[in-house]
Amino acid sequence: MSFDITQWVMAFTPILTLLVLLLILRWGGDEAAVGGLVVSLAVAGGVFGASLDHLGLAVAKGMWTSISIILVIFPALLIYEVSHEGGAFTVIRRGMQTFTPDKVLQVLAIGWVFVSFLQGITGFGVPVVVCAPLLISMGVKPLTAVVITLLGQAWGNTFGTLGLAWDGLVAQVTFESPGVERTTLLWASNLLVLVNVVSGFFITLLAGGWTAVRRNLLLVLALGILQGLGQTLVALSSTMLSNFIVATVSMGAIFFVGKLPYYRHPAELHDAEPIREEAEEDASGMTLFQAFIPYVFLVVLACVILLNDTLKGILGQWKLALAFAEKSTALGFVAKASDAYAPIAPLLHSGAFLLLSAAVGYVCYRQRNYIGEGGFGRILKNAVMKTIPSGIAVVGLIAMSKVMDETGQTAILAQGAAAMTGTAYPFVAPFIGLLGTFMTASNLSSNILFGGFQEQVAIMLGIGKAQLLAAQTAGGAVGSILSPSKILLGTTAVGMMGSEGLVMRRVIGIGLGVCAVYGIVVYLSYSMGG
Amino acid sequence: MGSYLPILIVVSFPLLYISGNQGSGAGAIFGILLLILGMSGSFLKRFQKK
Repeated sequence: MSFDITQWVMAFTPILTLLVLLLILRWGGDEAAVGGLVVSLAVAGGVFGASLDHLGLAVAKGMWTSISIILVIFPALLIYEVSHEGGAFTVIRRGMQTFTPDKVLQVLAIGWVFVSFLQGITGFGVPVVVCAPLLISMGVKPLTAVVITLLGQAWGNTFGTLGLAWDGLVAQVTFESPGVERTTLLWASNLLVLVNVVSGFFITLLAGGWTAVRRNLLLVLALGILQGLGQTLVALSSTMLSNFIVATVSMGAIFFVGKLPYYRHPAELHDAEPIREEAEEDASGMTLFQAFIPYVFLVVLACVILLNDTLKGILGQWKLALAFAEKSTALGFVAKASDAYAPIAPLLHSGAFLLLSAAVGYVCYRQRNYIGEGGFGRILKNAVMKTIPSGIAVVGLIAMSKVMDETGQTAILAQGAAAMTGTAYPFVAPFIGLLGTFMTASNLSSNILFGGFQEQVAIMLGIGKAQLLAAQTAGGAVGSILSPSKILLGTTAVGMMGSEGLVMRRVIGIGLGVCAVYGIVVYLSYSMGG
Repeated sequence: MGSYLPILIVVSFPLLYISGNQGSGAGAIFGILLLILGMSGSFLKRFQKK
């Protein structure tokens, strides 16, 4: 496989720009996104020979795709503002004490198990935007809350959202036999065990320090293995439900664990956010169930609709999509035409569930006077004001990734990595998956982008495709921890917009480390004739 | 004025979509400039602070 090193370096420039702006210059996500977009446009036009109309259409595609994410951000912020205005977070924090006085276990329950449950059914960043504010209400510092939720949702990114990313991968490749598909599935789900256990470990460390790690090591290992291997076992029967079923069992398990005498003793967070006293008075009279109403409604609604094929079919009939013309660059890279590009089914969209949940929460709190006069206006204003900068950043980031994708930059990056590494490529394979999710904030998109490429490399190198494809989707799942768009969802939800670089600094080592282990495992498996 | 800039992002979308599909380079570059201007609110704030 030959490639032009200059093109490869230039194709990497937009990503490098983004990383430098976020990590070194500490620009906010909205500013860094504009920088990355401008560089990607310059490279696409100047080096890859994309015409102006091609660039315009690629940006339009990015804007259209970003609508799907913004439709999650706004209603998720509405839920947060409704809960905040009604004083629900104070009640939740107090209520968690009755579940267990061990605050580290509380953080594990919300930041790992509940996050996984939401990832299993909804995905699209919902676990991050919903759970990060919940963690803050329990005393976790805002940036730590974002890091915890990013870690907690990672393992569910392949088989979560009802197996969407796995289906995306399967749709992109051809399995010679059911046995190859089964082997790929086993490899993918087993690789995900590692990110699961590592996430549990780091969440415990972030919540309670090394003392908490020692105290909860057995629990973290047990839950990580239960979730990881449980997902593997169930996935052999149903890839759609594997993550959801295991996350549900895990919720029951951690509830049981909270009742054990070992966890009936108080344990504090090691770097807790001071709790403001005035907030204590706001929530008098609200029960724990009432405090959780928007979240309970969200879970019930998502389960009832998404697990029912008939309802899904009816609600999914109404779809919005745009047609895009074919474009090609001077280097011959073709962006194919599409009659219905990235359709959005508004009634089946996570944003619709979140919006309805926010409305139910508002009505309940307003009826019981937990939300006073003028509350509606404040909720709406705050949600809109937070959505705007976050939306700008999402538009910029997704438009940048589409410009790179549509003008051949992404393909050159992947091809160059394969050409440079040759037979050592299996080590790089998970990083390609990671790159896809880093850019698009979606393991599904990463698998669609690179699934076929990984298969082609396997054929070219004359090796089995199972491990490479598994590395693709497992690396993609890990990439969801580092994705600027997903980080942005979290910083927006906790009111720390502009701190995306700080979050990325705390997770980049974990993400790259896990991917490196994946790379070594996959490389060794081929070396040993796997 | 900076707080109204994001409106330009919304305006740029139909321009980019139509000009891109119809092969109009002038429309596309105008749309891109409009988009970047619409996204530049935070830059303006940064410079105002300086």
